Amino acid sequence: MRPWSALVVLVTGALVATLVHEALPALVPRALPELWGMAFSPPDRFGALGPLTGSVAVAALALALAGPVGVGAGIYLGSLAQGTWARLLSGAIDTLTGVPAVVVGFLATSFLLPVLRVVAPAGGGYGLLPAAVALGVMVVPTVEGFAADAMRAVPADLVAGSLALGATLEASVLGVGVAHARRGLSQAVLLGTGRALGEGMAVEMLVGNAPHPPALLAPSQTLTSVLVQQFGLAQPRSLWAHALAVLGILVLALAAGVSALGARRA
Amino acid sequence: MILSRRACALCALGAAALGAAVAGVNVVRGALFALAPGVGGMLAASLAVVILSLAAVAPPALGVARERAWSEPGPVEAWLLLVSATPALIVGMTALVWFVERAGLGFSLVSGALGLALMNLPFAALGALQAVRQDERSAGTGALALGVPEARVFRDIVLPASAGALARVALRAAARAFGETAVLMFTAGVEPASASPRGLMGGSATLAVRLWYLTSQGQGTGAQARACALWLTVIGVALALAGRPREAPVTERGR
Repeated sequence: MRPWSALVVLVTGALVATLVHEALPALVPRALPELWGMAFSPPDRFGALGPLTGSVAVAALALALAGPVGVGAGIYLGSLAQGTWARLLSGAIDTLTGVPAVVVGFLATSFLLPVLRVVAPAGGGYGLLPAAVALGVMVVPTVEGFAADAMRAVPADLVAGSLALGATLEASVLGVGVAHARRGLSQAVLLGTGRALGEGMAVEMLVGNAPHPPALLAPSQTLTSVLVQQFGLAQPRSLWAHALAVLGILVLALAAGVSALGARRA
Repeated sequence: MILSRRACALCALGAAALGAAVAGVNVVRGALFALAPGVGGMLAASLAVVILSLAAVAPPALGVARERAWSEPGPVEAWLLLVSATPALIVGMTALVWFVERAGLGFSLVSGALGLALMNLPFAALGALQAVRQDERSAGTGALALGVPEARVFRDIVLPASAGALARVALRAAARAFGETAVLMFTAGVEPASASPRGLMGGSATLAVRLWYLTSQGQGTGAQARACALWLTVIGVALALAGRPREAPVTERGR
């Protein structure tokens, strides 16, 4: 391997190694009290299961909201859209890409939470639901982008053959094109899931950050919300910091694992 | 001689470019304090870390592109693709350990810029690689076949031909860095700089970090939070739109 490539691989590898090194003291048996508990609340409770469940639930919810929109937009832009509508929709999605996560979180805090507060006044509107809505908005461009690419990769002959048999354009695209691109479309959803699992800021602003079991409309925790809130507060080399590094490894494993799975399906 | 004359010249050029970037950043910071009272300091800090991070990430990204321009995609690309999925939050945690704690840089704009460079490194390297592979590789291959040295082919043929695509990669990297919060809250701090511009070794909240901080403190309805959100949206969207790839644009969206 040549010098610059070796340097880049080394630096990025060291990033992962540092995280593992920081987590090692907490990975010895019985180092962390209640590791599989539902609440991460130092100094006496280091339960990873609650935040882990919260992360998976919020990503699944976000994909339930963003998946159909992103895949639908991808199918439309990748095979059907032409002219002004295509440019408008494409431009809108590109614009959405440029809006930072923290602004999405800020907008959801300003406009979504007050509405949810009416529905669930006890929890102040916080919970997995508002976090999933914000996350869904952020994930749409990722899903749409890969879905549109998958549709563009469908051989034109397949759709032309269907048209020649008398099917309409919409029926040909949906019946033949989508069937051919289904691996690519599922890859788009997986890559969107990978992004949703790793997102921290917007989720932290909306999830409520209370060490309770995950709930749709009550303050909860996710892996990333715990890390955003606590990593800067923990004393270096303390059990708390090591426990947070364990949560970091879980986030990395989930996000990179799902993304790698998505990339392999391509 | 351990270092060739050319390497010395390159080092001197790099040092001069970095010096010019630091001086330029300080001038821009001073101007922005005057132009945008209230959030001027944060806007200046945001632009400073973005410029410095791009200056730090460009040499390795271009280096990888030069080395692998004529190679088939292999383990390096696979590894970069895998680590490019690393969440920014994880990069921020590592940057805190490396730059703030171990290197002793503390909460500073320099730590923030290095953290952003670390975050953008796989993305920029992959983007640069795609850019130089897309444009005029065949012309470069022809020159190589005629015996022109690889470095010269890259400098004189590939780089000029792919300048537009490389600029768009840089703009997309800048868009990612400008709106980034997780890396900077762990490296540049959450408190805004005082009324006068401080050096790059001082900590300062960027627009994104300040917006997160204000919203978390229940002050998300204030004028400062709204000003931060407006600047972040306008500049973030402008950078993302300017950096849209010309061909197959959708592949890069949302990364």
